[in-house]
Amino acid sequence: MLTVTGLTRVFANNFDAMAGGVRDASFNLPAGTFFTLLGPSGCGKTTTLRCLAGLERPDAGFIGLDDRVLFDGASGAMVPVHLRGIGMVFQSYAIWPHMTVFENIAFPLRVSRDRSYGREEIAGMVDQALSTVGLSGYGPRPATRLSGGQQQRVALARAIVHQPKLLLLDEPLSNLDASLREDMRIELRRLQQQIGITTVYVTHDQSEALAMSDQIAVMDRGRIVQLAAPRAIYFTPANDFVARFIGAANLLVGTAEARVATGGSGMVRLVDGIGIICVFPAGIEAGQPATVAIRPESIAVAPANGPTLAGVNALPGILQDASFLGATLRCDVLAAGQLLRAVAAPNAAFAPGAAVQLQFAADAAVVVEAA
Amino acid sequence: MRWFLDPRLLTSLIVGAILAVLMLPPLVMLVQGSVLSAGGSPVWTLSHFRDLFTAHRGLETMANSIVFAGGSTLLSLLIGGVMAWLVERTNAPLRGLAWVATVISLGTPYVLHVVAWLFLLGPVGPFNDLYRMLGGNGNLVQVQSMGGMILIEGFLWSPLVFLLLGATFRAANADMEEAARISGATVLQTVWRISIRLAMPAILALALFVFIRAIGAFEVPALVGIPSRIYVLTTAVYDSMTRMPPNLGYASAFAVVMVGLVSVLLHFYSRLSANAEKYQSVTGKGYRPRPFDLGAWRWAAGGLILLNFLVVLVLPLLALLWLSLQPYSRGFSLAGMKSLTADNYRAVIEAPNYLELAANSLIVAAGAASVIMLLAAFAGWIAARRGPGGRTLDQLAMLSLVFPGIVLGVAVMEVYLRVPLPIYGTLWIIGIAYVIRFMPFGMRYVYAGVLQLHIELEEAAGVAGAGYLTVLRRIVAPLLTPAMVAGWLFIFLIANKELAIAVLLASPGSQVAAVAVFDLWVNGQGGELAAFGLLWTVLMTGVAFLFFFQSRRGGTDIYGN
Repeated sequence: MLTVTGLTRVFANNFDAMAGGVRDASFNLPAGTFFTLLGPSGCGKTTTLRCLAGLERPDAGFIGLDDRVLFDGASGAMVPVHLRGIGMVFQSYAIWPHMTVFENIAFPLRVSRDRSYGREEIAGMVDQALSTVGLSGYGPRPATRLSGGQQQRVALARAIVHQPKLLLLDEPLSNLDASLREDMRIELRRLQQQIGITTVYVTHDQSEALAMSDQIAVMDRGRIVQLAAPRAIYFTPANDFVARFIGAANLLVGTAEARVATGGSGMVRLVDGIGIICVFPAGIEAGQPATVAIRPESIAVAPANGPTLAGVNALPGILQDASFLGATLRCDVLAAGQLLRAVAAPNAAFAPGAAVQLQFAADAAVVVEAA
Repeated sequence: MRWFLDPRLLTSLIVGAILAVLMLPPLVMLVQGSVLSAGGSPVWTLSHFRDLFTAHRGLETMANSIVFAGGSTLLSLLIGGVMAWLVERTNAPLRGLAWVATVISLGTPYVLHVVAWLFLLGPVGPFNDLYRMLGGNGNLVQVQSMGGMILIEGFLWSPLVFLLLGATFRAANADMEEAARISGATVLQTVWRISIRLAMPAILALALFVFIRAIGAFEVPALVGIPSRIYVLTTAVYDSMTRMPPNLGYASAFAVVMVGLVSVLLHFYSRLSANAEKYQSVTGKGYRPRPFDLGAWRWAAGGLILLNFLVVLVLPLLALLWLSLQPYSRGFSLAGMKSLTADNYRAVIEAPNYLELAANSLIVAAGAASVIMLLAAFAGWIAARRGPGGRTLDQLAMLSLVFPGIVLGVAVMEVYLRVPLPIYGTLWIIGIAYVIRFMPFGMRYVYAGVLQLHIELEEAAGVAGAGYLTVLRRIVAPLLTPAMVAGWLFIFLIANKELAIAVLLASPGSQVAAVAVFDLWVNGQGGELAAFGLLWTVLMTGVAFLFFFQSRRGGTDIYGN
């Protein structure tokens, strides 16, 4: 169980740029959770991770792992980095070039202060770690003669060899090429499930986060703006920032026609007078401004003179641009006074300039908070 | 954990204390010496400074220093800069020769170069001989003059300029030049409008750096200037220290003026070189600079490289060889061929004092280099990683940059005359002076070496459970080894090359090579000087080749400052 409460680490403001860091972050992770900190660069996700590792001293807050207090801002108590017994994979992998693969992985055991490990015991545990990451037999290799993917596995083996209670991963896939990244994503998740270790994963890639996590915390400018399971993040984003960040959502601005209860549906009148039926996860009063998020893949592109279906929203528009992407046809349509993106079937034949209508179900239009 | 048990703080405190004890007293003593009157009960006085401008012609001395330093800076920049560009950025033939000349000159004591040039340009030297043979009267070249001083000092510095500017040209992004060529510029236009402009901040910074070093230069002003009564700041200090009785007050006052001047220049230097770094457009891995094709001009360029090689290296060495094989100093001549003798070499090899001298020099230089690299390993790491007190450690270690060699000699002498340690007149005091003087070099090597290491390598060790000193011992030290070895070799070479620090500290029982060569010259023993100097140069050139090999393999830059 990892407990983080009110974690704050703000960096001194240099020049006129926004001060970086993390403010008032709180989360509780049951043992075995795969937890992802997701956000754009500078959002504070790496700072949070470094505070957990002990590489950064928080200004305030509390960090506890099971019954150990790792940091307590109230009393000033802080366990230094080398006594925390945590495993971590760095973005650069940080494989020590003057050691063999075996020595790299054995290092945490050799410098351990909890207990001393015998020669055979070390050999056994390193072999175990190597086979866990699928690198059996690589021990005697010089660390400099490894591919990127192999380095990543060695870094992982080194992080888990002393069976830590917490594993920290700092964008471990960002230095791999695209196809390898897909494979390692699946592999990493499988490994984490297999050894059942609580894992905190930092990434700016929303598809990685969605595919791997039990829980995702989306961060923006130092704060956690939404903490939820991947599906909840995807389908009911807490605000327009999350909606945009999690996958190129279209955002339409209008006003609520009538009062809507929490979780109910109702009409939003857009600026050009067209009304659309939306879901209100948070409820709203009549006449309040509302921002509606609609995902591109939820929008169908139909001919302008085609039939309209009952219960389905329809917006007239002019097709501006259509890009053939193989599996899909990406359309940019001028509708409701702005460019909206929709994804059509690849065999649809629309020419730029054509009049079309955009159709989407009421439950695909979610009203989000404006951040 | 109580604060004094924190290994981070404790390490910084210990290293800081050692550095402070080494670095601060010389500066304090120097300033104190300049404002205390001589005699049994010293009182505060500004009379030494006043006397600089009345009795000691201080303004003329300063003007001489500036003319001398400025002239030799320009000359060495011209020679070294052209060589660096030809070697690094063109396809001129014979480029390897420039490297050979640089390596060998790094192994040759400055004072030996100066002796060779004094002979070459002197009254019996080949240039004046040739002039008389062609029907001239007297001497064409008057080497004992400001012009002669500038010429020789310029030759001395050009290899270093070549080395440092070469690094700048090598790091320059060839894309920028090729973009100019594609746009229709000729080679000359490209060099003038792109290459030089991009290198300009680096060139200016280097010029200031050479100027600072030339202000503190001692060998040329002592051997060339003093006989013709052209004094600069360094020789003025030396003069007032070696006359009977020595006048510590004037020497300190001159020294304080020089330290002040150098400090101001260093301030501008650090700003200039920070600016130069902004211009650097170094690219990532797998990058190969593409040289200019000079076409038919490449043979002319090759000729220039060959000429430089002959003038800067072959001619002085040949002169020394000639002198070492003659029973007395005489010009190059066929008649001289008959009097060739190996007596000088026999004298050098058979006399036990030369062997002892060589051993002394090697031991002191090696000892100082080891102490420096050990201290710098801690201080440089802490400073580069912004550990506790890192900035203070850095400033302490860099403090001695403000001391020209001769000034440091005076200051160290003052300190250890008063400290109740029986090291005055022994090799220890020379060793301590070396440590103080060359500490900044060790610091540069370690600092730059640490910056090349990804910090996550250390953080990963911390997360894995290694404490502060374990990280230093198991991760940083092994990875820093190439930079440390290069730094050690560089300090070893420089310590054996410079005369100025040791010249006031050495005594008959504790001689080092550069001072011995100087004494032999003063005593007129040119033959033995040349024989010993050549043998010494061969030895040091071996070390210099090791150094270059190590720098290349370890991928470390070469720091002359």
